[in-house]
Amino acid sequence: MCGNLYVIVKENCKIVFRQGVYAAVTFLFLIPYIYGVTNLNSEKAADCLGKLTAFIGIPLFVFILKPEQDSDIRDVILIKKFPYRISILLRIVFAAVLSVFLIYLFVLYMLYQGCEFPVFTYTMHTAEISTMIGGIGLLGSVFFRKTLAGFLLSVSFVFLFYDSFTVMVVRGIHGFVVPVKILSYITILWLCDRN
Amino acid sequence: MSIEIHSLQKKFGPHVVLSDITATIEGGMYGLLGRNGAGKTTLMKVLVTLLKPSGGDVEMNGVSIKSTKEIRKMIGYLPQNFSFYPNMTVYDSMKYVAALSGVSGSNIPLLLQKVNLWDRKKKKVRTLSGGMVRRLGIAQALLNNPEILVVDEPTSGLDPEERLRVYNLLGEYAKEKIVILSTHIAGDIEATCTRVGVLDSGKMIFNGSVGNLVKLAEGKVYEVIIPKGAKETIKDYGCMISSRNDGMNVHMRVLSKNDLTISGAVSCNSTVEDAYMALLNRICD
Amino acid sequence: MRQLLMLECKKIAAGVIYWLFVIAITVVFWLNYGNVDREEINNASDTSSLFYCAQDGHYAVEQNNLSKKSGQNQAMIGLTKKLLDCYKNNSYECYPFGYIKVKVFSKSEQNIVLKYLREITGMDKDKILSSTGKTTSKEPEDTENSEELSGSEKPEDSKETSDSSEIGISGGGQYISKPGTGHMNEAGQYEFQPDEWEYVENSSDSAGEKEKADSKEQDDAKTSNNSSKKKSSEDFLIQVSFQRFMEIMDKISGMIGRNSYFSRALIDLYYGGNDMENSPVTLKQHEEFYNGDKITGAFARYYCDNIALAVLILPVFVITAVMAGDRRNRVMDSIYAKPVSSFKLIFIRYFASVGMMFVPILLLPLKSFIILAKYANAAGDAVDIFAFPKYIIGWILPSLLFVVAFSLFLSVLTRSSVSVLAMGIFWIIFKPSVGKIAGGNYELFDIVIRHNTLKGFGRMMQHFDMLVINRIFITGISFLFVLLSVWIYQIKRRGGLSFHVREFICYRKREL
Repeated sequence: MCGNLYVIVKENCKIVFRQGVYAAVTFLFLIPYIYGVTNLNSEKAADCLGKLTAFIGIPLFVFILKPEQDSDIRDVILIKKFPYRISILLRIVFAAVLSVFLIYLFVLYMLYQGCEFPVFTYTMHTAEISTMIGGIGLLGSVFFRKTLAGFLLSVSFVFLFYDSFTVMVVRGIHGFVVPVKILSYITILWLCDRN
Repeated sequence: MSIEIHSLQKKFGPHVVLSDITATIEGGMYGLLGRNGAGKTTLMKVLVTLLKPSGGDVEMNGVSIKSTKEIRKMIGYLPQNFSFYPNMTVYDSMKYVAALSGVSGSNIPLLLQKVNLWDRKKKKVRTLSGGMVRRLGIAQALLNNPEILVVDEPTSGLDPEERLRVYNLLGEYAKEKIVILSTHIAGDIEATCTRVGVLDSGKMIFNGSVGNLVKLAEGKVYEVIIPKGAKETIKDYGCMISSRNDGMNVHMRVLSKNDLTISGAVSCNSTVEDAYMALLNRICD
Repeated sequence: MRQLLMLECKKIAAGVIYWLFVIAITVVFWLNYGNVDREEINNASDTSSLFYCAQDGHYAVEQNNLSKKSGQNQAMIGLTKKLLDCYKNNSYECYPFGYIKVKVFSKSEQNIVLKYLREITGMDKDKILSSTGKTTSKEPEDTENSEELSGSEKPEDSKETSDSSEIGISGGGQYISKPGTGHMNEAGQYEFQPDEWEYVENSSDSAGEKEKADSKEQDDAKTSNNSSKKKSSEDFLIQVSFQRFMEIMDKISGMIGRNSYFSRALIDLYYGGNDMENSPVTLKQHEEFYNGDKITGAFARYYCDNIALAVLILPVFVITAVMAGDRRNRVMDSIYAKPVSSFKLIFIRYFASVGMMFVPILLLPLKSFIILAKYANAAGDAVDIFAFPKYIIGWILPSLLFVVAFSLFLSVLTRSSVSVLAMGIFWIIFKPSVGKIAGGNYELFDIVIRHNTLKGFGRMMQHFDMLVINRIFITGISFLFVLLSVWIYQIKRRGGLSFHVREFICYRKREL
């Protein structure tokens, strides 16, 4: 049984990795050319992290359900003993971990380039924003059963609340946003199993 | 009206998928038999101009396959995994295909009636069963009244009744046109086709009438009854085509190059399936 | 052909992605454009509203611009302060892609900057390093200094009138901004706070007479400048002419990168008399609004600006969904084998997608037009009834054509949704930079045109030729991408480019 669990965890992590990491890493490589990460003070670092780096949540999260979009594959997977919801939960957790890891690597690079800002706080807040953006996309993807719909929702969300991301990096996500975020992930897990 | 295939070759990278195929296909139903991966679908895709041949040539009614536009006006194609836009109604999807085919679509009602989908014309495609979708596929392939109809495994996944319905439709159309159908079910060929080609590993190992194919296995097919425990020993004598359990014994149909020296073995008439198996197992060499 | 076009439109309208696009663009419209028309109308008595009509015919003085000496001096002082600051911190900012980018100079580059600072200010290195070099100031010292340069008279109670609620036009007085004030907001607009305006009580001056007085007083001010300057926080004197100063700025801007503070575009933005929303209306702006824009033109232009960035990214989803539909529904082989030409199929899908997306963009400002037309009719003013369609077709449609064409090209080429990711990166890179937000600064390769103000008709007309060339060029490039898509689609329909790769992989799998 442990062997089975290991295989399940490994395969689900591979799915997330294969689908999202290349796009996320490519984007992170582009940021120094677009924005510039040399000698940024904390205000500008927050701007860079909030308005660019956090977007890696889109490729990491929105494609989580893509492999099972084809109904033929879905039908085979859903009837299996191992709950599909747990697979999705594993993917979400791995995507979140990957998001934190990639953002932390990028933050280290910023430090190396002479930036000065509170590292841990900014990393965690940026990861929070990243999971929020990705979560909205994933919710759209599961609700409409189309990855493209999820993508559109993520991008629209970014577009509409673009100016507030810098503040969110500095202060974090507060108020009603946190329970809404948790609720959306619960909804994702609830809806992903329907046929 | 004919299709001339001259030394047709198709490669994907270094792999040769079709090798030196030569055949003439005339009016009526032509069956294409072969294992999975023999190259049937690839050959069909070359014929309908979805793939470019790596070598050789094909002419349809004197028109070379390089004249894609002319060829596409002449053909109708039903792919192996046919599906359509799920949110379109049956009628709308036929209208769409008519528009793509450059025809008026005035024959849509007739075609839908022929395939028994007229009463479902306002239903969305996603509400249709597998057999109905396949029938819709046939209807869309016939929309432009093609001279040549190419159908790739039209009955896979269908129940016996649906299969019969599909073959009746195709048979009716084949009276005045060329219908090429591929399958790996030999029995379907026997029931519907006049001529057959057998592909194996990209080579055409037989091309001729169904009767001539059956003759290849003449005198090589035996029926024998042996105890269940001795079932495995039959490999020493020949190739098992089919078997049926009968209590403690097994009734088997066996192909053997030489005379079968098992007691109780009776020679019987060969079928297309027997001949097909004989070809694939090189028993006819 | 018409039937196929209608069927494609119907197919698009049946998809959920299209309606999500409509909702997204509507939300963008409401959040950005919102009730700007009503707000302007309701504030018609406010001096900053475009609908404001001065009873006595006196409007605000036109902002100092770079053709006037006062504007030039203001620019030189402000830029020198900024350069001093950058030099001391060795931190030079620019906006190459619409985002701020900070550059750190090498020793040799810093020496070059030092050389220029010496030339401009006449100060040695120690003095440069110890100077205050503040770039913006609301301190009284700056106000005194600006008086010298602009030659305006400062009323005794000007500080008391800095509260916006007490500001009012009376007896021919005018509002001018205090030089060295103002700042860039997050939207890239240069804005002033109410306390950064000073009221000048000068009943005999019209705008024109004011300028003459300015230039005369500047000449006088220059000779007496030294003594007053020593009292101020600035400890330098500009030693070069404005022409030489701009040459130096060009060189420094070249060293930093695109759209730095010292680039022509941003100098023009900060000091060139651009139109800030909360500044009192000048006579020129008033005339441009009523005679040039004919009211609706200004709002049409503003609407196009608000929609422009959404148009740069949202259409990619619709066209990608259209092309992905064939793949997802396994219809490709059926369609590929049909006699329809690739040219016809691709062009019809292209025009169907553009048409369907254009409809909501065209219809959204309808309510705004009705409000404006009603108000103008009641006030007896003329409106341009075709302003909204004119601007939407001329301003937005080429951008839409390009985005759809480019996304179509990527979709056909890659047969995947990678076009969405590519377009996302495209959006980040090709978002108009800060120098273009106020409008007038048009370049050939601008995919979207910005004009984030209701004012600025004159500035647009000044560069109208370039605007037209740009729009025609972008439209031409769009059709080029569509033709490329047709070509690639044709190749793929014959099994080229990707078929053999897929088949090869399937073949290998079967072998194993």
